[in-house]
Amino acid sequence: MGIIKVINAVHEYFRRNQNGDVVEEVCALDDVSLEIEEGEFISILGHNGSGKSTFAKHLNALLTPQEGVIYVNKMDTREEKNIFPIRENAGMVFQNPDNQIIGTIVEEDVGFGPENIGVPTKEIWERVEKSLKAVGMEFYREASPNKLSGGQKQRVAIAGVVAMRPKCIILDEPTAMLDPKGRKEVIKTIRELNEKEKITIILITHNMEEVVYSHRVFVMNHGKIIMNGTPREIFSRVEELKEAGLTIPVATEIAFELRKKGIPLSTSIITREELVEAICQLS
Amino acid sequence: MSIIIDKVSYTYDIRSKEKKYAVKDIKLVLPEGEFIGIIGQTGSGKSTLVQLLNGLIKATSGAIYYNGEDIYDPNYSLKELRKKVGLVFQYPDYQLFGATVFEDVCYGPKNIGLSKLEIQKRAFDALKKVGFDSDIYDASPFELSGGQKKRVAIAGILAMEPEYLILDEPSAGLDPKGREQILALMKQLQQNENISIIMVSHSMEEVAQYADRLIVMDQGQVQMFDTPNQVFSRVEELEAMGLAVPETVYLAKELKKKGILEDDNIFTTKQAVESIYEALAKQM
Repeated sequence: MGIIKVINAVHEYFRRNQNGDVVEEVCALDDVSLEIEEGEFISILGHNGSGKSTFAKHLNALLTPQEGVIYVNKMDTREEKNIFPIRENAGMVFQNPDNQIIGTIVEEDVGFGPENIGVPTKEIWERVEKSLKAVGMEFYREASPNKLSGGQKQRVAIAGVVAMRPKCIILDEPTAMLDPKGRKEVIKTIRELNEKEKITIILITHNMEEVVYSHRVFVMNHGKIIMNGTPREIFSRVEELKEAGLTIPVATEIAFELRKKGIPLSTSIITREELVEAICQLS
Repeated sequence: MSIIIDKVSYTYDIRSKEKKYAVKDIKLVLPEGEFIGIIGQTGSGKSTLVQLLNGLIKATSGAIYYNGEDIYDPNYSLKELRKKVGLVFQYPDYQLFGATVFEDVCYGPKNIGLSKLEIQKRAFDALKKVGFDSDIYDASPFELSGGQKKRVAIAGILAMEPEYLILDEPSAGLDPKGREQILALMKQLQQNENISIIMVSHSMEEVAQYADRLIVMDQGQVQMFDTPNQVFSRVEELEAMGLAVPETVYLAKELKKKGILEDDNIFTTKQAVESIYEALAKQM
């Protein structure tokens, strides 16, 4: 069994108005099944309301499926005794770093998690040091988090999760509020954690350029997984992506539009270099 | 009508010996009716500049004139200025507080003492302009999606009937569909309602497509103020400031190097498709 196995998971909720009357029934997860192997770098794409954040919350037992089963590291998320072991195994990083940083200085914040689960003091400091190094923030140990940039704060938040030694990290739009530089820093950190520390990554995003690095991509719409494949396979299906309310990389889009005008370009183009080369070969 | 910024500086932490400038010696004329984009890295002074424009913070030195009047004149009403120059923040959650969407939009007009009828009329108009049907008026703003919340925040400002609308990263955190809606709304407000738009953004693609002119900020100073065309032709300078140009500009530059395109001044996908198609059609 992979690190994460989802079998026919369903999650519905009611949207209510001010008086508590049910306005509509939302199916955030509609019979979702998938398996993720240890060490994979997975991206989940989808527009707002497609169910991707609900899905993420199921992966560390913040929510449990109403029907179906989810196993995280072979543990059933519905069983109460599994909740804490699951959260140690599957760490979560949210969109806004301000909502998850609690320490007054960086090292305190990163040490908070391990301290809470009773790790011996000496080991806490070892973990803090190692985690900060892993995200490239070791020189900010004694800095105050509110003096850091958005990208730096987000890396501290990631270090806090890394300090728990998780097998898997789930990141829910970690770059949405960052500027291009902060975005690059965070993505580089995530890739390194996957490559060097062999941590399984599940990245939820709308940003197509970030997806290019992942091993596999899932596309969600209306609570269902509508596509599943390598970035190259996914991006060749331009029309379906557009229908799901997503944008595609600029090079892919240009190749797609030129193809419509009758220029014979490959459907597998996802980078600028590939597009330039393909155009040069034609002329 | 215009906003004139004359040698404006803003320093913070005045107690420490060394002055830290958030913006320094800014001179700008922002005429009415334009769609202006402001780009720059985090910490370049963009947010300070927009907060100066509607009087939320006061310049340490220099003067700002709104329609020819000095906004720092003791007799000038900053309350009046904030009606005319509306500011929409990056996180809509910070500026929404009504129990219902309609109540939230009414808050501003109510505060300036308009009649009940006029308040409701303005709220209806504003919500219509941002594209909401009446079925959402009674919803709580907090159960809306990010893009909808942002539109409610914009409606709240529109209900004050502003002449200038300033937005700090209006598309941050939105999905592609929500982003497109907000930007199209900005363009429509500029063209149909004659509201001048000033938009801070991190997306070069966005400003290239929508703005008439761009302000490029770096280290608290205005480094460029020109059309997207002119600004994006200065790739090296922008890169030195930690900024990028739209992906299509890089593409066009490489195709020009290979002798396929003659012009590398291409900054939207549509332009790129057309020029590449023409170039290839000629050769085939």
